[in-house]
Amino acid sequence: MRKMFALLSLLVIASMALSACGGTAPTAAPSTGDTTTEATEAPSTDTGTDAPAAAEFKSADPTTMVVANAEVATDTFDPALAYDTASAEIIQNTYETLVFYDGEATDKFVPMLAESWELSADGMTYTFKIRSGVKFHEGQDLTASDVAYSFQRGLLQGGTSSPQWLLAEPFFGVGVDDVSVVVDPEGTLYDDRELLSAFDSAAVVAACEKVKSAIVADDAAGTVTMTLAQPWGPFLPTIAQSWGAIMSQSWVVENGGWDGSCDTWQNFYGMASADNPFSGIINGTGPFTLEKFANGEEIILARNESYWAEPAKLERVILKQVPEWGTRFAMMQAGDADLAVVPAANRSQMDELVGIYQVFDLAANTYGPEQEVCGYDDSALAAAKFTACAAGETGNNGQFRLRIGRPALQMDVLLTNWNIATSEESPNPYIGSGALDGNGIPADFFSDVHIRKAFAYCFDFETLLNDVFSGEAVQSYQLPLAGMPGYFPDTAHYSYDPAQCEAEFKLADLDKDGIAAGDDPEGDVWTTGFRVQMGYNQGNATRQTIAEILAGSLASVNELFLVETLGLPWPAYLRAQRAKQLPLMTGGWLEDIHDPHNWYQPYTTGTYGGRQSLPDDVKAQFRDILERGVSETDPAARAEIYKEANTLYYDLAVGIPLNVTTSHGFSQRWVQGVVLNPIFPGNYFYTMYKD
Amino acid sequence: MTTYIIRRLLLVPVLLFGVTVLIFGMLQFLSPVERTALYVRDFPKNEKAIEGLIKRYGFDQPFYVQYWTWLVGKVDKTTGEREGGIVYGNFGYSRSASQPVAELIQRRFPNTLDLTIWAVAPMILIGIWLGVQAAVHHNGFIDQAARVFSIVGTSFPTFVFGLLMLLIFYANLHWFSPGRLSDEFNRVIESDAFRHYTTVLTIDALLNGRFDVFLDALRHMFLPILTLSYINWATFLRVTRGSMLETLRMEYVNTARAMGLPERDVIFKHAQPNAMLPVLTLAGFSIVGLLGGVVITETVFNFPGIGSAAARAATSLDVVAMLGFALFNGFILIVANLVVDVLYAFVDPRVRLS
Amino acid sequence: MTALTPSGDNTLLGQDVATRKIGRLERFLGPENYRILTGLLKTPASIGGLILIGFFIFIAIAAPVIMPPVTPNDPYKIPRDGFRSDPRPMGSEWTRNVPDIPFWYKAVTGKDEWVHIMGTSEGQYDIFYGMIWGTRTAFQTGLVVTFSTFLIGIIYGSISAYYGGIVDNLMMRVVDVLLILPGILAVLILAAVLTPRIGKSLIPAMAALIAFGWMGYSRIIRGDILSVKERDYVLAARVIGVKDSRILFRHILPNAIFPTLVLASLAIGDVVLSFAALSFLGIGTEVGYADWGQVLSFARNWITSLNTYWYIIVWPGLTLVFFVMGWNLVGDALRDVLDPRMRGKT
Repeated sequence: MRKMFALLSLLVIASMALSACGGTAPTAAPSTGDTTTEATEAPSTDTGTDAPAAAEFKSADPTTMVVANAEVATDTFDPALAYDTASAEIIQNTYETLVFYDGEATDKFVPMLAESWELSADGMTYTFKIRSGVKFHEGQDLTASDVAYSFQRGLLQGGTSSPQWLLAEPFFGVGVDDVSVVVDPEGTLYDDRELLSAFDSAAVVAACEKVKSAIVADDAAGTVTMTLAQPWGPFLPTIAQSWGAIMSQSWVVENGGWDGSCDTWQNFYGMASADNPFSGIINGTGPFTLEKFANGEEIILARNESYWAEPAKLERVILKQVPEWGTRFAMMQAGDADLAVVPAANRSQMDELVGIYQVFDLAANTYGPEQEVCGYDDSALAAAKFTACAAGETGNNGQFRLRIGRPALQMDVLLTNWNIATSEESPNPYIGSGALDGNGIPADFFSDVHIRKAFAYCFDFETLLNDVFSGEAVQSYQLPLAGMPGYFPDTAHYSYDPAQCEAEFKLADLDKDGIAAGDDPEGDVWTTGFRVQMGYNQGNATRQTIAEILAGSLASVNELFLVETLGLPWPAYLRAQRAKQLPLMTGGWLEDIHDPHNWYQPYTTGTYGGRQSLPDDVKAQFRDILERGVSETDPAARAEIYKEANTLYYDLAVGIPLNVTTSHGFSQRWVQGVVLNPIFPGNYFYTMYKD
Repeated sequence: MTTYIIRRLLLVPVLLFGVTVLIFGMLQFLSPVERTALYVRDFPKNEKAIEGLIKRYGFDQPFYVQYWTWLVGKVDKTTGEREGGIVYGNFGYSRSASQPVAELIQRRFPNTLDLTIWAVAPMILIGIWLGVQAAVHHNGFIDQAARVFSIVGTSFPTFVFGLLMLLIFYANLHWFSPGRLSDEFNRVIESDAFRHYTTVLTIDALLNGRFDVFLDALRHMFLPILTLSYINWATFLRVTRGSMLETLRMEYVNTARAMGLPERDVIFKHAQPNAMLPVLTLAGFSIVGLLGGVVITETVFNFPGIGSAAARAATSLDVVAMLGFALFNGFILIVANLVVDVLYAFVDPRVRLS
Repeated sequence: MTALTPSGDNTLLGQDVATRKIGRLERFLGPENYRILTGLLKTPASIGGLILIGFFIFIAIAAPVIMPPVTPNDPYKIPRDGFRSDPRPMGSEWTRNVPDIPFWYKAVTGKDEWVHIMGTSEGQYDIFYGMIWGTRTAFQTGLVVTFSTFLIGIIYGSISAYYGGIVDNLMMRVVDVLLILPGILAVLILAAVLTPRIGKSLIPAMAALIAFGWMGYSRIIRGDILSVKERDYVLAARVIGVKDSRILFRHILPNAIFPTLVLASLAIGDVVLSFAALSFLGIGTEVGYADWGQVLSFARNWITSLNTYWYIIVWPGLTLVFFVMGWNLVGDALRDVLDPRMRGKT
């Protein structure tokens, strides 16, 4: 037993030594905590006390950019299949597309791998001149056939969880959203490689030939010609995203990818990212190469020294997974991270430490000048929290830079289900009794336009914008976003009006006796009341609050109106929404391309229209408008067409557009050269540097 | 003894089969659409994607077909390649961690092992030491103080204690930070100069002669160790105390006293070794428990071990990863229990004879 | 020689053998239970524990009086004073979803309007409300889980021991399999899987804790029964033809159950701890349900700012710790009293 005591005393000594080390480390060893103190102290002793304040902010490692993300989880680096922002961010920094966004513009394009392009008079044939002298990371030369191969491969690999439907429609025509539909127009082959392989081989080969004839390379001339099925206004925006990135054909074949033959393509159709050889490797032409890929931990990008344009200013970019917000915050405070993901709920913690800020100027469509912070008021909202320094005043020397106020490309919409699914075998749990007895709602509750309008008038936008988003959001009046054809700064929209809400409820006729509820002697919704559950996916605090706001204002109009908020785990929410059981829901959409078609399609004829069980005649009205809209190339004419859609959407109160959030991004003060294009899936590191 | 071990080993596959069937069974509570939820983080933009995923992963097939596929994999009819199949050593792909399960375990387990190595000593030794002291000074001040101290320890939820530790030592004092290693040392261990002999970080650091890395790793593990220890001391204290009290009342101890041996020798040479037997069993189980990963502690301190990965897999319903962890855990548990039993036999002659 | 006839006079005996007055309470409870009770009331620690438990029982019963519910049809919904994320300090004004003023409020605080006594947590949930109504949640989960696991364990263990042989072997392998799954993880999986089925409520987490919590009891009971089976008096009883089942279920089980039941009831503290851990990981009740673990998990995003927002972790943390400590203090004393090795020693 003496041994045990010896061990024990050793342990005590060790732990004492350890805690002593821990205590003294920040001053003794070059540990994480003191990099900033060193960095901030060093220049001030060199240059004296009258040095300009901004000069104090220097990164310890000016050539490495460290990004602290809540999650580093990419799905796949295969540009043809990646459809999540995490993967797209890496793809955008390592692969390149034919055309690219012009700075912060979402609708202007500059040449990238294409030196120039031409559009034929009928609007159906694009000819791209491919840049010469471009090399892939592993040394292959970029050729026109690489470009054609990349697009062919993408279309043929298809699959419904990939973004290829965005390309399939222009190449195959509206409604044909996957190559499998080209093989079998009945749509029996979606995502099923085995069925596709067993299908009539002539049809299988024919589909491939069709793709190859639509995208033709001429290596001698260095051009690629793409022939569309119909004029497609938003074609350039579609190919400027990650799914338009160019891969090297020889490299893909070497690594076990499709060999370009029409006899084998079906073996690569609808591939899962886990089986995809290109999920974890990258060989692009972009300014960065993939140096380390540890999914779930970190991703390191290194500068591509043989980049065809001027090499990037940063040598390395490290994306780290730091799940706990507190740790990310500490890293930012210590200067160990240059950029960090800040949840909306925690912004105020960072705001206090902001020393320099830029506010987005909506009219000029660009960020305003940099301003030093001289005053901070935490009771104010959004940009009003900060008081800019007057001329000659010295700022508060806060360590962060803030860019605030740019509307995002994502919108929440409050949606009602016009025909709620319920049956004897599986009674819908979200509509109470399923009848108009004050303890539930009938399945066709929301097919009455007055009920939908009443709900719209009963939504307190003010509270949503100020309380939930702390003033960092604007109300949406229509589906299209600012800058798109179809967007009108002032158009008919709903606002919070309890009197109108009450009037609309009294106009409703739910017992279908032809007498409005307000005058109905037998009683209708106004006298019986209702009880309905509004589900949201658990963990989405915003959707939870939207439901609670609606519940609160409805109850204040009539205490018989009961909306219960219900947090559902993600799987249950997914199932309920698929089964069209949710009577009320909040839908969110992040645009793929900056175009009104990408907004109207999902919310009317597409995904959400389906979940709302919109009747066929309503869908048909929208489909007519959308087909005219997408084939029109003149922006002014398109605006007029989409105006019809706006009016229809408002009159029928199909959905209630809620809000567009505005940006609120932090970085260290030394981070420069940031291009904040809202359509980018993440950071674009090529232009960034530290100073 | 040998037959006993053989019997135990024969039971291993049966138990592992039971565990996997159990987990598979639990998942049958979920409908195919719900199980697809893991594969779509938000609503798929294309409505048809969910059907495709259900078909691709066979979620709509009966329980036994899915289980069999998991066991032996699926042969792709067109290419003839086999996908998956646990019996072929393919543990599948974890969606929650975005990497193959085998790789995930391989990457996370050394960290958990590292934490276990360092947490075991303070956890067990201090508990035992306090327990012996409490028994020797039965009902005295030390006894009462140790008991109150340990009861407060067992009453603390791990995460509350962990959060408080972070509040004090991280937010206020900046002494210890969560995570595995500071950035600068991360770069050191990723450099080619740093050789990974064992993949256990602290040991590798010592073998490479990098004491700075070693100390930094320990600094990051200090709070998890403290949390684990404080919460577990109590159990050791109680068992040691009880066992010690019982032993001290035995005839042979009295005999030793009567023979005039100094009280010190009576307690530490004669009583304690015998009193340690139940404590040994408990220690064995504790170590096994730690090796399986400590879910809450690792989550609170953002420690990249098996436990935090498992928690993530469980909350995101990552079937493949959960099965992998359960198999791994079951395997460790069975082997470790076996080792503990054999050791026990060596220590306790009564077991050896029977 | 005088005849040795019993005189019936035992007074002399009293001088040689120490006797003790048996009080009414002891007579009523029986010597064993009386010993347990006095053992409990002797140590200051267990008295402290009993006081703590009593205090929480009082709060649970008086919850509607202490904190009148804002939504009477769903009193477990913590009222939100707005929707902003930043916690607000103790004593700040309560403007939305204000409860009625209870009779004690003015006397204790000296104020006419409700304030947030313990502040608000992320999302403006009132912490004090969560603490008061959370006490009921804690007792509900603790009691239901403990008694269910105990009952299942006893029944399972007795059946296994009673039938013996291959049935016993099979039943115990099932227990082995359940024990191989790492505790909290198994509970996590089951609760996560059940939640989409049952919905966010107390039930999935409780069901999971029950499903993986009974094995210990079944092993204990099985061991007790098996060891008793070998005893001489059982053999004797068997010889005279008394059925095993009669011996087991009439004589052994009732005697074995009581002390185990007392110990089991003290596991309430542990159950509440596990439940809080599940809540912390995001599995369990709906956001905003009055549950201590839930309120604590609101603090997760504010670790580095806890200097300012300490009240969002300290109050719920202390509440939870004191509750569990109450049970643990009593449990520790009880274990000593019940431990046969400690008998006769005080």
